[in-house]
Amino acid sequence: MDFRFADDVEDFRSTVRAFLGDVMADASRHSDPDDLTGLDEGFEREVHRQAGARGWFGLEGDRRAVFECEIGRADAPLVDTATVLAGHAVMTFGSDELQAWLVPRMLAGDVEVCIAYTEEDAGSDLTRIECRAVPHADGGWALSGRKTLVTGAHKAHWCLTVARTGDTTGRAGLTMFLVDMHAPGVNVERRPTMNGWTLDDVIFDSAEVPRAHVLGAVGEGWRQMAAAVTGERSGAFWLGFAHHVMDLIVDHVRKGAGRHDPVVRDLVARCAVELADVDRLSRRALWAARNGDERTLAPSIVYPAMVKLAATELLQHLAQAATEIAGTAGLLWASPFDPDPPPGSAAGGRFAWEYLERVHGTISVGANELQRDAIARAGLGLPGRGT
Amino acid sequence: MDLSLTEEQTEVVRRAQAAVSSGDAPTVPRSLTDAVLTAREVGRATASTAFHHHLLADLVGWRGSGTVAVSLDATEGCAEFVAHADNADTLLISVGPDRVGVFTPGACRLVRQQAIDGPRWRVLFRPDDAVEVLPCDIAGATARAAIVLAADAVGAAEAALDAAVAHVRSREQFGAPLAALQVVQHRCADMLLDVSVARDAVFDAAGTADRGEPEKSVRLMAAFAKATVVERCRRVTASAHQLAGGRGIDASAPYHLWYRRVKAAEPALGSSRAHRELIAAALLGP
Repeated sequence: MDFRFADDVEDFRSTVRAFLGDVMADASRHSDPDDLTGLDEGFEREVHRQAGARGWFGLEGDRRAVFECEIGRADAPLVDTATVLAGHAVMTFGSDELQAWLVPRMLAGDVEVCIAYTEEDAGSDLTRIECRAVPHADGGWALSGRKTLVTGAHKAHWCLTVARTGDTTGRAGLTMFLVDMHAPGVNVERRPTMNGWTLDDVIFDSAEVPRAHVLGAVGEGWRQMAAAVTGERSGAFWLGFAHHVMDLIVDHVRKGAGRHDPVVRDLVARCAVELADVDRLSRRALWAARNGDERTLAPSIVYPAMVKLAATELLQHLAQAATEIAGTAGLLWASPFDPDPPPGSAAGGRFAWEYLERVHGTISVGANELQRDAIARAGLGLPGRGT
Repeated sequence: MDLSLTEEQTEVVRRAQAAVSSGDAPTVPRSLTDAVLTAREVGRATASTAFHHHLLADLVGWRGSGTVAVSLDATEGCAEFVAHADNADTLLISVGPDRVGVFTPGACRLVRQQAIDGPRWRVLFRPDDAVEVLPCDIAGATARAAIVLAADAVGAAEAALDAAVAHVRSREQFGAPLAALQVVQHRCADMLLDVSVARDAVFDAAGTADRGEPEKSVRLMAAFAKATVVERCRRVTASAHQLAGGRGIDASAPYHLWYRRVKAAEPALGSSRAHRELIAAALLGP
């Protein structure tokens, strides 16, 4: 077996790296610790347009994975793009008219989209969504309710969301909408996270949504959301983050006395082994999605769940190893593009930032408990909840 | 990227399964990937480890017939932890950095050792008693054999997972099958992740060797594979025991066979610490 990407895919990786090397060269001039990307909105928009112009928001398969890995590795502000967040939902459930208008703009990097599914009382259990949509006579809707833990709402043009359109509870009666963030009745509150950057609450107060911006069928929101969440992440971003932190750990240890400490060397090697495992697993996931698998009947559910689980836990292990090795210097904190990190900080304050940042990976995009549920069910045929 | 098994490779698996079920040691195949596929079946069935000794003999260039026992990490006059030494027609023992001595059983003194997975022997010998000395690349042979031994552990872990999953599906406790409990499901999910990752580490390393990549890469890949495989497979066989409950520690239950087998692979053909040091040296320098 050969786990290496084809030569043309590796050539593409080199092209992406060269682009990112150029475009990110003076990123620290655009530092913005309040944003998840660590960079200001103007810079992010510019990078989006440049990547979009190269056709990189319409990638599939190995190329998409390599692209996502490299932007993760470079901390490029290209992780939460409109196509990654909403591409699947818009292209699967949007009307022809909506797609004709929106998809080219998404691919060009001209529009930003946020996803607002969950609410304070819902968490990972989206059957508890309470946000309501009331129909108008003309087929439009008025949305009211508060969405929470939204990435990038403060800079988005559009919001992909779900609201109750019927009197039922649970999975029934949910409908998917695309809301114009500049429409009357749409407000955003930024809430600082534990690591400095903000997540947003989106508050709908009788926000008007025209009929054309209902995505898919009324009442089918649950099924559509489940499909869209699966399509949201390839896992390659996390792999890219992990490669970056591994590089920083190796660089830190090479420069110091720890380089000759057998305990440190063993810990660094443990990190490298786990990283190699997750990298290989992500390749297996790509392969199995196309070609099936000897062991599991549902590889397109099982392997992405495994990658998400293993990659987010790897990132926590790397952050722990980095801070343990670096000692107090590893606890000096700076935002990734801070041009002036604290004196004496290890990796420019990045290890401390990593230690705080990697808490949410095992929670978001389907908590790892849900990933383990999915692996047990789809991979081993164990019974689901309540069956 | 090509992660498919060819028709020939599927045939290798079938032949290995047939040999194992009739109690024979499978023949040593030509490619390392075929050896890995074979060893996985040997480990799955907790069959005799004679296959691994024949493979080692093949790797050091021994072309004789009969049964062999091999040790590539002997110190002066003493080889430890050697399996099959009591019924070997020939003993192949390292006698220098890149030399293996060929010994008759009569020229060696054997001291029986009870090991975790069965009997082993301390083999005492005088290097001058070798009937022949083969020049060979001991580090290269050890790396390749380590990949194949790791595949054996993967087979054992896969069998343990399958048995544990079958058990939790059928075993009822407090009015429901164990498999309905989320805590049980999550342990099973972690086990499936571990065996999947371990399996691919082995395939990746074997593929690297079969493609004739630089020797340094092959040894590094062997270190990556064996280090992760023994840790993950050990965890899987221990978890299988936990899921199997009290009946699982019966000598008549199979769980301890997988548990022993994976543990015995841990220090053999390079310890995990030695493998991680090789990886550290590649990243950090000596």
